[in-house]
Amino acid sequence: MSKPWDNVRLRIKLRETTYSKPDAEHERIKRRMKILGIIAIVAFGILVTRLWFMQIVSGEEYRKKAESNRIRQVSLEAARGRILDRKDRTLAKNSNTLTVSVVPAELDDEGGVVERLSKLLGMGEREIAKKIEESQAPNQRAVLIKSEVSPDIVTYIAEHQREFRGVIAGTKAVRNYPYHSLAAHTLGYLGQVSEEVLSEKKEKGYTAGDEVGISGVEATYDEFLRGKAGELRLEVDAQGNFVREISRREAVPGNDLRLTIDLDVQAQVEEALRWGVELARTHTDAESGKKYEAPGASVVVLDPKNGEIIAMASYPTFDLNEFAGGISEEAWKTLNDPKNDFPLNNRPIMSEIPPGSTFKVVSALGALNESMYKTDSAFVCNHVFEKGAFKDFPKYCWSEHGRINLFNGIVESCDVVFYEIGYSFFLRQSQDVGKTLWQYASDFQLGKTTGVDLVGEKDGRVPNPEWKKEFNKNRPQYQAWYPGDTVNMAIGQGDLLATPLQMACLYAGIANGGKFVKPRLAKQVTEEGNKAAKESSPELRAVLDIPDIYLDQVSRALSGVVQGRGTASATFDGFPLGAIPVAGKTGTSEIAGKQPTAWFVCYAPVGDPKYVVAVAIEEGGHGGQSAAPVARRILEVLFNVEARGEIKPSLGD
Amino acid sequence: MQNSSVQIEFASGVVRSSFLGKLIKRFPMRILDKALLGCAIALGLFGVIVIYSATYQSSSASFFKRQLLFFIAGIFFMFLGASFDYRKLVPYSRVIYFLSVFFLLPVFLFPAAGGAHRWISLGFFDFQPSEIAKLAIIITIASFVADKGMETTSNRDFLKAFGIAIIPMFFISIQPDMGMAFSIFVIFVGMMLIGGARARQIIALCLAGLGLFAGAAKLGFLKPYQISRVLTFVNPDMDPLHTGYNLLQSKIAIGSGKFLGKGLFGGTQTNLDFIPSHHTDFIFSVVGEELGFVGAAILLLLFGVLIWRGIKIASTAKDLFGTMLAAGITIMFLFQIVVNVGMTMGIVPITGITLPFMSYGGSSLVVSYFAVGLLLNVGMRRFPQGNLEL
Repeated sequence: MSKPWDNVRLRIKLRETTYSKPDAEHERIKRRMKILGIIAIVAFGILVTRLWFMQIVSGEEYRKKAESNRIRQVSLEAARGRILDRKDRTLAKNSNTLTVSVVPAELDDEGGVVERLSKLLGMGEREIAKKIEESQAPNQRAVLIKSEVSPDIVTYIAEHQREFRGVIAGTKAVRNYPYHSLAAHTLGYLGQVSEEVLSEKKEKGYTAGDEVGISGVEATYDEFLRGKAGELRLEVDAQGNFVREISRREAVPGNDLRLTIDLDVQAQVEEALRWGVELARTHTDAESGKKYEAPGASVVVLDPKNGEIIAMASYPTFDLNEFAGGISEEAWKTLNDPKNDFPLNNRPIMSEIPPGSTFKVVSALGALNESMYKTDSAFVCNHVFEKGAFKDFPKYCWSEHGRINLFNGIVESCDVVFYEIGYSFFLRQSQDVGKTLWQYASDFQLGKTTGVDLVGEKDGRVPNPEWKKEFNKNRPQYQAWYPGDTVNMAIGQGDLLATPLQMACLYAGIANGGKFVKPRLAKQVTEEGNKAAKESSPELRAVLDIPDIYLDQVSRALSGVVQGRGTASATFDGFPLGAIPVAGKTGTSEIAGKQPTAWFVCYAPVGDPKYVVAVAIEEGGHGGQSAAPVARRILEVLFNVEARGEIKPSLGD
Repeated sequence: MQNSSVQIEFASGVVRSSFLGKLIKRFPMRILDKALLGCAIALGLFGVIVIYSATYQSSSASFFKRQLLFFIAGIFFMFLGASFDYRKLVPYSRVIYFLSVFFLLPVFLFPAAGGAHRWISLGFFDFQPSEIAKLAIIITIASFVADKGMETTSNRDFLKAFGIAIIPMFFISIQPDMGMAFSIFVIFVGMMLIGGARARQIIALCLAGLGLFAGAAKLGFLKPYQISRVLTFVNPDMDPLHTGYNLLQSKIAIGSGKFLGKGLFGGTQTNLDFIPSHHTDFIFSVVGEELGFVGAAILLLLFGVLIWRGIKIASTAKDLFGTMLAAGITIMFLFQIVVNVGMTMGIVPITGITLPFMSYGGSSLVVSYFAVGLLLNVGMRRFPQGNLEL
């Protein structure tokens, strides 16, 4: 039952009291309140519009800012893989050092942080400030101030972190090379990633401030060695205090790299080269009357069958550990000072030198293959060559060989024999008959990189008429190809250039029956736990189209070089050639204005060659005199031959 | 018929004799502005919830509990504000005025908090007398205008009225609380314009005020932060770690809330202390961040209804005093809302003006509810039922 008073109340219409204000006043109030209402509507309209723009239109932008406010990303460094020699001996590893670094962006120096740091580390304030200033690269994470600090200092800084804003003290993995300068050029050093590399490899996880391989296999195999940096995402509050861990991606350590290098051989090769350079410097250059300067030298030892480089040395060298944790300004300057003959240059792949007489094998094989000559074809060497066009510009041999055939021309390195061959090539090329000499040079893989797994390898140069025209594009008078160009090339001079590694590969091709195998330094890339991730296998670059018989003939001639009347026979006096037959060739190449470069390239044992050894001592004298002794010492090491007495220089060219 | 009248008699006897009945009689729901009442309660609850979200994990969770208590007290004061005939305030307006001015003085006896003497410590509660002074000035100006009438204000009357406002403004500005002083100035100006002041009177006053500001700045009376606040408003990105930092973080908070917000308790800018004073001056930033455009728009809608009802009540009030009182209160709310919300979004300079019903603070909340009570009071007294007295 509904209660009656409900109905009563509902029926009552609300009655307002009579408006007590006069009408005019009422109207005025109404108008003014309307204005207030309009002001309110406009104000709220502005607020809502602003809200819309901030939250809907620019919301994503603000969201990103809010995220970067609260999230701090910390990169977890991945341990770089080790570099091992062919017998698993460590050539490069990581060691944890206690370091003090500064993050310039976070450094608050108004509080005297640098001053306190300078007292703590015993370094000058200026020195610290300079280090920070010098490495103000964009996005750089931290600048190393001092490494190998005592644990006390690290603890002190950690405990007083507030007074050291922007200072990081802790362990840092620093690359360590236990053998210092051993195989320094092959291993290579690390440095901060450059802008170019960064933009190239950004997708591969490279970030600014990363240490990457700059040279050597550290550079070639950087992606294998570096591993993958982990990432720690932390939530921090407005004061930068840690709140919680948002996510963590562990770092994946890098793979180990096993090289073809043999630590023992490498060490002795380097020792032999150093000895050879010093020996060369004792000789006097007959032409200038000065001692040879021998500012740089190279050795390559490789296995001709599979291209494995057993040892590769470049002189002068440097200590890789100087680069650990960032090289000092001073050390860097020293390494780049021209007075110090550029120790960072990896000469076996970077020095482009005329191959000199070591190239004569190419001329000889070309001539044989073209049936221009036979090994017993007779020549006469009267010290001078003045055939045809050379009447007015005679060319000279380093000696006077008299009646001589091609075979002995190789053994005794007679230039006249090869001037004749070169001249014949020239006459044929002008009549468009057969292959040219530069084509043979290219067939022997000169003029192009060997493809060794190193960065910075040079091409060398095989000149030809087109090249000459292009090269002298601004000097029309030098554009023509003269008989002298071909004749000079026949003795490995003129515009022909080759690196020591290219010459090693050339002889490896001959030793290997015409098969050119790509030289390489990486044997195996192994993941952690010794799982082979990548096995490197021999790669055939090219096969010579020259009958074995000619290769055999030349090989026999090369065997004669180290004995009898050969140009390196004095040096190999006492070497057990019966057990270990050696085939080699001396070379002395000339560059205008410089002292001659000594070459010796050889392989052994003939018949079943295991090693090719190429030695080049730049401005170090004659091949037999300076280079061959080094090669002999290396062969003694390789074949475990007891060194007998002093190694004599040979007088041959 | 006889029967039903007996029933009514009986029922009213019951009603009259109980406390509940007294309240119902005093606030007949049919004439009470339910939209305004509902809005006021919703806003207070909204504020309590957001304060909880903004402070739940900081050291003192007591912010929430205290605000809840203030809210309950506020509801009481709202009904108190509506429980008597507002016209009774007119004869008492001088007493109210002088008492409120008098209470502005003891603040200087208490140690400064945050560089200002704003509070009288009562032990359990820090009481902010300037909040009361603000309302007292509205009452006083309203009665002044009601007395004078709606005719064009003479210069003499204008100066008299300004005299009423300037005394508490002076004491408040030396606390210093320039935000509050400025609020009072704006309320004064708004009420005077409604009450018949001419534009040139206001302009002359503003020019004089600007001259005073410039003079005070030049003579070093203004604190550097007060000048820099005005200057950094021009370009807050210029110096993000110092004065503009607060504004930048507040904008990031609001913008990052996007459409639906990060959810209550989910605001990173709030909980990681990027927003300064997130439970007081910058509470709107918390709303924007955690509840997004939707939440912030609902909040502004509630405020909009509040203002709308205030204007409605002012324009339909029974007498000029009621109009002026309701208008003054409406202007007070409107100004505080626009300036506070505008400041968090970077369209108004940063001042210490709080957001009514939302910002943490007992005095502000209780005074706001009392002011809503007065609005309800004015609104219902135009009905005969509204004039029931006990």
